[in-house]
Amino acid sequence: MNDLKFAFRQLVKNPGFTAVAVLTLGLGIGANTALFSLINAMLMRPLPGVVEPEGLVRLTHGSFSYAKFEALKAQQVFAQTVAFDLDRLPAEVNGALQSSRVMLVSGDYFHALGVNARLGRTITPQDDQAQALVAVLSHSFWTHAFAADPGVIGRSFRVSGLAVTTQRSAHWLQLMGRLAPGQTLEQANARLQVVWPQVLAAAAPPDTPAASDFFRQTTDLQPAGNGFSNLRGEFASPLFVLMCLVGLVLLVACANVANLLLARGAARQREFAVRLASGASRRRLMRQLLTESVLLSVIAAFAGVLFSAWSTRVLVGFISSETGPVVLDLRPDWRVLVFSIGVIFITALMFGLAPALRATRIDLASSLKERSRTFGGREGRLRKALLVSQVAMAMVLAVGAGLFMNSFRHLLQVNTGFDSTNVLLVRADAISAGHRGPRAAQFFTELLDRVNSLPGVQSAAMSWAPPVSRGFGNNGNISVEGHSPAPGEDRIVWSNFVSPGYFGTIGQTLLAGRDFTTGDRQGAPGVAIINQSMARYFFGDESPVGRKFDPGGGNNYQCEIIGVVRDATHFSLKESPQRVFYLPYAQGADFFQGENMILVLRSAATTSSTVKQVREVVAQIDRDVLVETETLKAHVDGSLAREHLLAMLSGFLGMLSLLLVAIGLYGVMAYSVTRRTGEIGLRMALGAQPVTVLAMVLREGFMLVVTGTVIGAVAACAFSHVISTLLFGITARDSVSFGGAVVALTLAAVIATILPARRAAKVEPMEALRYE
Amino acid sequence: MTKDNSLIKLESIKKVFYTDEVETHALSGIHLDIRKGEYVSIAGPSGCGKSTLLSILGLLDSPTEGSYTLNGQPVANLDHSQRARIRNREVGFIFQSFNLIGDLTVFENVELPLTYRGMNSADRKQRVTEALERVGMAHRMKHYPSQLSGGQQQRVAVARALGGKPAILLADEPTGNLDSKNGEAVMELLRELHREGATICMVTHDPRFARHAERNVHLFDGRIVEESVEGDER
Repeated sequence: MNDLKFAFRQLVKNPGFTAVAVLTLGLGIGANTALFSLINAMLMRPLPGVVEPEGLVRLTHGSFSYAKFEALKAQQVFAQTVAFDLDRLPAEVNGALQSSRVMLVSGDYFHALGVNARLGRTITPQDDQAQALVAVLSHSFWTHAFAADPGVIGRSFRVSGLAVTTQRSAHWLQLMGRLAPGQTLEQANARLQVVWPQVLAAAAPPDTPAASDFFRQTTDLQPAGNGFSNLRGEFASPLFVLMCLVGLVLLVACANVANLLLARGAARQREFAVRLASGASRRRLMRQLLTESVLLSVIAAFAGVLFSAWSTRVLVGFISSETGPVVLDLRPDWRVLVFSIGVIFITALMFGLAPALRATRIDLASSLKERSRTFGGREGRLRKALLVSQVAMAMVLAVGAGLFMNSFRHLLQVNTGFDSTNVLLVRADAISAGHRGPRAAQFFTELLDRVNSLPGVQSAAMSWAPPVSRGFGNNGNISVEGHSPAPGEDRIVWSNFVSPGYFGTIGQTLLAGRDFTTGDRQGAPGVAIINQSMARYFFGDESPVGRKFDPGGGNNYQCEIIGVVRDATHFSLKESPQRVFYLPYAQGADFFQGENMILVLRSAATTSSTVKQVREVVAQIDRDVLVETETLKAHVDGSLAREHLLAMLSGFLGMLSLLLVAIGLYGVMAYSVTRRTGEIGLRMALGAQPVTVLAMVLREGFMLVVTGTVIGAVAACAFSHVISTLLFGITARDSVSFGGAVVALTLAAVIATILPARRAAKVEPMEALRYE
Repeated sequence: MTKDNSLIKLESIKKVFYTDEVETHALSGIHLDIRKGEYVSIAGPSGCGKSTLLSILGLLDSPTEGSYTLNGQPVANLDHSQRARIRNREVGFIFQSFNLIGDLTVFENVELPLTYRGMNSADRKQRVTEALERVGMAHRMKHYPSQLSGGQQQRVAVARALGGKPAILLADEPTGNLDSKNGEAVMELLRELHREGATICMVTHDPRFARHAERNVHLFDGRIVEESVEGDER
């Protein structure tokens, strides 16, 4: 208790030191806690309310048909096998339809999870057979839509489009199982591999050839105790990379505080000598100093918690997009608590142990004497070693920041092949509102006509997949008339359905032939427009216009190529050009059984009034159709959320580490100049010019920075190799990033060293004698 | 004393220190001539102004009033850079606490003033070797100060002062941190240097060592109260 009281008094007595240390450590601890909270929420937190979540497993490699689910269930690989699909449907909230998350689940879903109803009952296998539709409300929906009314049981409410979506064949399902008691994931997986061919055989559509791709499908088991999330795949590796970077920042901060403590230890040398001379053991003194460090770390952790709460929200903001908000449970749990306590103690040891060991290693006889006969010596070496390690870590951070920022810059400069300026994407959910087949076609045609006539709209068109579709799309092997494929040749081509005027609306240049017209409808000859990559692959230098192909990969060459468009980014900005053909949407009426079209419109300026007008038009056609809008630019930018997060955060961490290094270097050099005032005075007495002393101090600072930079560059090479898969348009040895990091560190070194150097140059030689 | 033979000439030198409303007169009208080849000791009780006088002689400090001529050149009002140049070429310091730099070897410590002079490496090496041989420390040139005894460290400090072949050696209590045996050895070394023609001005409070000099100047309260020539006492 006395140690704690004295430690507290020491921190209060030195408010400047305490403030710098708390701020430095607070930023480091806060950044680590924030990122760990995010990783915990996204990757580690088990499903809440689920009994023994570690017993849940999921089948990997995509989604599965209902037939596969039933076939798998029949094989009894798991204690329970369940299927579900997550959708967004317009559901009735306070009398109006609102886009809501709807999960379609198999009968034993809740039983497998071990979740009971708070009111009423859960869905059971008997409901699978029943004709009546039943629903279980989540607590948040119950609160939101029914004001937590306990009388909701037995009431009906409207979910638009359920008649369509409850058709089992219309869904691609996620499959999950609960392991039997005593069964391990490996055992279950081994059993799954044995029965999988039988599952495929049972689920195969009639007349599926034995050699078809269907029977080559594979699957695997993964733990599912943490639930399902697309974010996990997209953000897991960037978050782990960022966790490494914030860990480095914390180390840099620790080195800074350790340096401050070393300087303080040197200043308190006589105090420690007196304590030792008064009978304190070294261990007792160490305990006192480590108590001070832990107290400092705890105070910094409190500051860090505030920073963490704010920065976690900022991080989630980076991951979210306008049309896809990310909801994560960021409440601290025992993992975050253990992590934070661990960070506090590890941090305290990292920055406190070495200074405590050094401060208590005292030669009592000489420490209690005033006089020192030589200048310099070894006492500054630990400080310098710490600084070199700081610079090395900052170099890694700066290179990392440079690589991610440079990579992001390259992505922003990618020629997409279209012009996203003033283009609006409108997603009107006609299918959920009950429009099917010809009704859907009629809805979208009417919508297109009306939007085209809106004032300010220059052109409008429709497309099944938006540009930069981010994984959404359709592909398959095609056959081209006159092209004899080599055995095993990759003839996969992506396809899209678009309306006339689509290419002009998004600014994708038509290079040859013609655009689709209203005449390209059902009953008219099949036509297609292909992109440059497809043209080059199948036709080389010859003109593809007038040539024919079979989109299904057979010998029915009924689709005539009528035009060639410039390559445009299809999936993501990181992709190499894909082979794509476009079909007129009017020739794909069957297509509207379960899919919506996206309205694309170009206006003089995309304003809120344009959006309002479009919403009004949709409501005039059918007020039950929910609408989401997004500018094409926002859609493209949203596809770079991961890269944006990496670039912004690594840039911030790089800047933070440079600031910490500059503070550290300033501290070391200022302390060195103060400690060496006598030596510097002596040098002046012996004839050194002020400029010579200035150069000497600058040189010493630079030597530390150069040493750290060289070590850091080696470490950065290894680091950049690890993150190379996250880069685009640059290599892991990108000279701009490495050069930029060196320049940034050099600038930080100049700024941090120039003040102590100028002070050294102003030392009066008389100081040498005063130090006598 | 002829005018040509004069190395140092102080006229009406005053030094006043101002601290928080307190005015301290460290030196009050000092007149002092030191001839080339002379060995002068400055003695007096603690606080009498000995070290202040030596600082002014060594251009480490400037007088508040008065004129100072070193080797025929008025130096009282020179700027920092000019004073540094003269210190480097004309003055050799020997301090009570040796003031060697712990991170530098014996060789590098002695070499230090020569590097500030811009002398080339070969000449520096020759000068340093000569100086270290002169004080009997050439065999320790790769050692660090912490590996030497106090007497040896002071010999190195003397070598550093000698290396630049200065016009005058200024010694501030050179035996103050040494035992009597080592103290005697250093004094003997200074005497030998004087015999070889060096001009030496030494501050000491020890009458035994003051007697090594040709001329003794006694300071009290910032004034020269007595001057005696060693031959006179004999």
